[in-house]
Amino acid sequence: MVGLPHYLIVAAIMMCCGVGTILLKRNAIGILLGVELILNAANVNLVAFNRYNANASGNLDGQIFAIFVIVLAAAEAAVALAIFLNFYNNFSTVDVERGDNLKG
Amino acid sequence: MVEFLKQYLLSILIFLPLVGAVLTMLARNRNETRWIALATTLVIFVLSLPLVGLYDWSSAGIYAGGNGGVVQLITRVPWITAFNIEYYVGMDGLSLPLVLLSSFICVLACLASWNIEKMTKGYFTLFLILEMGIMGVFLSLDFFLFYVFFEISLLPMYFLIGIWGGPRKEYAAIKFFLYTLVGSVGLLIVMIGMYLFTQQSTVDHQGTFDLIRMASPQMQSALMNGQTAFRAAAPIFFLLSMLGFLIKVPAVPFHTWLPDAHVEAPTPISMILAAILLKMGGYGIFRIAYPLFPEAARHFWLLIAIIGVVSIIYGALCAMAQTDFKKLVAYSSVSHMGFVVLGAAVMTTASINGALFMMVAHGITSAAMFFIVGVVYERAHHRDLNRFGGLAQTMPVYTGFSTVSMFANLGLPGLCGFIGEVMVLLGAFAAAKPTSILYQYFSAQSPAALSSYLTSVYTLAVISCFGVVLTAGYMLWTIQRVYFGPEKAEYKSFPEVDAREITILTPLTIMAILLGVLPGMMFFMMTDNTVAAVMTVLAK
Amino acid sequence: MPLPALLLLVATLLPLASFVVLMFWGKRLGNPLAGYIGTAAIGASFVCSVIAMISWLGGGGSGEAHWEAGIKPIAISFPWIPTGLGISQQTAGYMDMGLYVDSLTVIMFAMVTLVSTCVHIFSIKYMEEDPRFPRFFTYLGLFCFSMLGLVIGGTILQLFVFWELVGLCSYLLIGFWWEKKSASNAAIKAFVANRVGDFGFLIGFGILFIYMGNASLPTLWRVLGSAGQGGDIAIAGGVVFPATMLTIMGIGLFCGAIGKSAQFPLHVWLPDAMEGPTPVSALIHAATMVAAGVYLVGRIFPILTPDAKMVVAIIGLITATIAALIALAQSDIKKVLAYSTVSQLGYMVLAMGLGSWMGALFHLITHAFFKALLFLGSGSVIHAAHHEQELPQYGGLWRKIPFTAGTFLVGVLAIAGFPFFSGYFSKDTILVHAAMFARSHAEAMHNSWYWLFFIIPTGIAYLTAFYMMRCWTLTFAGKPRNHHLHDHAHESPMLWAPLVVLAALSIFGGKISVQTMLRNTIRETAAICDTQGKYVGFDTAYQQHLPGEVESMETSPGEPAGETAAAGHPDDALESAHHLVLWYVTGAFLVGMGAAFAIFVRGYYYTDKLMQFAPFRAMHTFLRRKMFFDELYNSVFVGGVRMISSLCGAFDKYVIDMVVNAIGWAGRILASISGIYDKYVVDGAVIGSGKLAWSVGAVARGLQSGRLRGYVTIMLLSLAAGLVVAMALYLR
Repeated sequence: MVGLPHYLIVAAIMMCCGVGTILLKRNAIGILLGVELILNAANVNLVAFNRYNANASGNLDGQIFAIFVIVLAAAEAAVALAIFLNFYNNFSTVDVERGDNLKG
Repeated sequence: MVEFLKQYLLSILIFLPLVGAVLTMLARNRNETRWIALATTLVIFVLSLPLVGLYDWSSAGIYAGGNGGVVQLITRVPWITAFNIEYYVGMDGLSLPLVLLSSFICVLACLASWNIEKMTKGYFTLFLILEMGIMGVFLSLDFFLFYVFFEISLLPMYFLIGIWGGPRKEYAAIKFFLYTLVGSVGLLIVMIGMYLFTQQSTVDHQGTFDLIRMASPQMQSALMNGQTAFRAAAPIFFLLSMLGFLIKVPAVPFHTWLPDAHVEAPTPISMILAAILLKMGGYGIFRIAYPLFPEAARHFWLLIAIIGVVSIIYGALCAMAQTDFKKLVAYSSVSHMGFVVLGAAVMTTASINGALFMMVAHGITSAAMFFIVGVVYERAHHRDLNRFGGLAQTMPVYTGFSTVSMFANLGLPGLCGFIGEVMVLLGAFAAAKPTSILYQYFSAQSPAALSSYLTSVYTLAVISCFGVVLTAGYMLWTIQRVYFGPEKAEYKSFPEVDAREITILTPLTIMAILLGVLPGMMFFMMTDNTVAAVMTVLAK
Repeated sequence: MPLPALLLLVATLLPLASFVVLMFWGKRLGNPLAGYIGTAAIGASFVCSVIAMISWLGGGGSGEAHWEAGIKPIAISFPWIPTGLGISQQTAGYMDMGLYVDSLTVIMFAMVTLVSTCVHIFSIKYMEEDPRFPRFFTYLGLFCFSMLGLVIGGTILQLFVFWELVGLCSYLLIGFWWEKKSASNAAIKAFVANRVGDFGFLIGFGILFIYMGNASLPTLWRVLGSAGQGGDIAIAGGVVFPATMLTIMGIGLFCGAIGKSAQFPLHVWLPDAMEGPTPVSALIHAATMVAAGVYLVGRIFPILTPDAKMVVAIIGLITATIAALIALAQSDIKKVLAYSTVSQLGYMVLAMGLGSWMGALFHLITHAFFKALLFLGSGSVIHAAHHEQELPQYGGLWRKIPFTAGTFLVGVLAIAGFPFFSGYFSKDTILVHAAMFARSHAEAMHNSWYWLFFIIPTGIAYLTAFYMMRCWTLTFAGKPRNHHLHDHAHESPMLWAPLVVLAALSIFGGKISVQTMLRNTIRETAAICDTQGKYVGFDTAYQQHLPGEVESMETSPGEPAGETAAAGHPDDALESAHHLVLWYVTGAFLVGMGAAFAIFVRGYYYTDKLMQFAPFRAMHTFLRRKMFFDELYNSVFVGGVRMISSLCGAFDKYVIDMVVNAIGWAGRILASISGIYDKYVVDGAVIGSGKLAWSVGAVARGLQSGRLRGYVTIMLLSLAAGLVVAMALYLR
């Protein structure tokens, strides 16, 4: 019987994959992917909590939250890609290690 | 017209230099500046002459302003009403000779400034502002106004020495300024203190800065009898104001600014400094310190007299030790102004007359002396007495002028220095007369006080007489070192005094002789009215 | 103004006019026109004086016959300086200037103008080659004016004024050749020595001023005429003039005379004054100015107390003695004459001190004539000898310059006291009084030391004859010692004409009306002094201490007291003194002259032999070096004053000025301390807080690595830490 813990475990694995990607990838696109993974892990959690919450039967708060997150992720991706383009323009690369101009 | 002059002439005399100063600022070139300045000083001099005629000589000898008093030609306008400060100018026999002297010397000093090259415009502007300050000091009768002018005269002097002076001009200018400022502080305290005390002693509790009123018998008795605090404060006030004036005079031991200031100052400024600025000290003594605090003046007579005598002797000895011509003259000023201090201290008619005469006489001779030093300095570019010699051969006319002024300085009869000197000396002896103020003061105390008083009078008088020997010594020695001896090659090319220099020296020489032969032409201005009035004030 | 006074005033002002004219136009007038103008002025003065004298003798003074008693001298005064004086007055009084004309004035005028005229004429020739010829006559004019002003002066102050003016002229003329250091030194010495005397004079005047103000001479005599009795004097206003003060005043005023008349201890300036041109020495330093001191003592004579007179006498005695001794050994002809002048002045002052007013002033007049003659004679010699002044260079000059030699001899005879020459009479008068004084005092005081007042002056009379004859013999007699000089010597009428005039006066000066005039002066002055009936008299050498005779001195007002004193009184005593003195004077003359001529007619032959004795040589050196007065004064007084003055100068520079500067420095140090406080404490606090923020930031900024992964790691770690903390809190 598939229950809430299974969803949570999947979400946690996705989350860890996303964090790992962010930490290990030097490519900006890759990092963006990692971020998407984290966001989606959160989405899975949201939907799962909504489905298994007895008090929440009949409403779709979790799903709606997830849709908001997807929209937000799309917007974020757009902004992030624009930044990357500019980054690329300036440094001819998308390696974030090179973008340390703001170092104190 | 006469009424107008009586009302406003003094104010015109005070502020005309300011107008001249503005005009010099507008001048287009150096030449124009000089001429405007000279014209201003000349106009002031000419305008100061009618004062002699405008003054009512028949006035009774009462030391008061207005009708029947000796202080005349009064203008009074409220100025700072909150403190009862007025624009109050007037004239009496104390100020008249000094005003005439100032306007006279200023003309000559202006002429002596003819070859000032550096920043002419600034120079003459400051010069005229200085003249305004001088006139203001001698003519104002309000303590506050006096103080303001006293300070005004200080500032241009500072710049005139500090900018147009010799190698150590900054040092000298600052020394002069600080020294005099210390004196001014004492004066400021006295001024404020007197205001507060008079506030207590008047019916309407209005304080006053009116110098003549402060000295009036009513005010004096109200102060002395009404307030124990004033009785305690008066000696301190007297000493503070005397400090201010003795620094200005200058008397030993407050004199060291003078040699430095003189040595560094340009010639015309030295003339003004010696001839007029020192007289502000003497004038202050007779206008403020003595009339306001006669009791304290009697009490401290010995201190002041000793300062005077020490100045006479010590100044002469120091003069003898100098090798710088100008410094020598400066020290001789200290010595001669010592007579003024002594004359004030012993408070006899003869001595005060003598002291006042001495101020004018010294004004004339010292101006001449400093100019003489200036003439030779301009040619030789040094003032070392030991390097001069034989100038009598090269510059006979100059030597003639110099000799006359030097003999006038050492007090040769027939020249002006003698009258002042001998009058002060005789006046000092006259302090032993039973009718003299101090004799009566001490005889009222105790026989012991009287006899020690008489001993001090005789001792001081005899010591000060010795000054005449010393003065002769250093003056003649100077003449010998500068003018006598074989002609020196290095000075052979010196040109004789030119027309401008003769124009300056001649009036001074004429005045030196005239005052020496006809001293009455000055005494008539002060003796019968003012000095008599001052004597009554002092005797109270 | 009565005629004589007017004339004398004109006579006074004429030289002033010539002074002014020559002052401005002298150079243009040049040589000899300037000299003629000066001479004309003083000549006119002389004429005025003579007319005044005639008019005076004719009674011009008061309109009465002048030989009688009751003559009133002319006193005119006008206010000069206001003082508020007079002991009884509270109101302003005046110091007067004024004229006072009596017989003494008249005769002094005649003497001064006459000698001046002679000197002027002499100078025209003597000074002809001098480039400053006009200047010389300018100064002479000023001098004549001052001298005449001094003589005519009616108040003490005026005396002092002209007193100083003659001093000035003396200064200018001694320093006439100012290129020479010695001349300008001598000029300064003269002026300063005179000033030292004036210092005393001022003190005396000051004391007089306390009680009397600036009194005119008649007032002075009237009020203080009884000073001669030596007691306190009550003056107006109930004030008493104590005897001590009177004595101090008298000595003080006499100090002026010490300076001017070159008395010990201020005699040192006169020999040095010979640096001036010789006519000046004749006029100023022999005949007129130096006698002014004696004249002054004569004027204040009635107000001198006995004690003051004793001081005067002692000073005169010392001066006369040392000067006569020094004169013995001088080799410069002018120095001999100078010391002789000092000695004779000492004689006069001594006479004054002994109470012989008459003798002193008589000797003053006669001395003026023969000393002027001697000096002009020496001038003629010097001119002839091309400005050589040393006696060893002279000798045998009488053949070359006979007029000079003759007139010089007349002068020598007169000063030595050749019978019936002028000097004989005056010296006789003095010595008679000295004898009377000595006897009366020795008897009254039982002290035979008083005889010194007679013995020493008599001894000096011997010395005078000796050194004057020595001077003449060495100059004119014997063989020429310098042949070059001798060969070129010559004289000119311009030079010897004045000599002849003066020689005539030296011979007859004692006989003309001088004595009468002086006796008149005594009468006139006595009449003024005598108002209180306590006046002691003028020729009082012997009366004071003869008991019982003082009373008889008190004559009734109007009757000439001086007459009684001078001529009448103790007849036999006077007579015997006269006889005694007559022999002494004649003896002195004969012995002194004879000895000198005998010794020096062979030049320095005998003296050179004498010089081989060491004590004699030492003595000679001692005298020749003027008893080392110059050395003494130079080291003690001049050096002392200079030392004190440099001490004062140094004190001023290094102590007083240092104190002032130290105060300035103290101010600056205080300022810099407060500056430091401001900088490091107040400002430090402000800056310190900024610095703190900065350093904290510096640490913190290390975190801003700019590395994305770093940030993420930190984020995660802190998240994890937060979770751990939250869980720990939650689980507890």
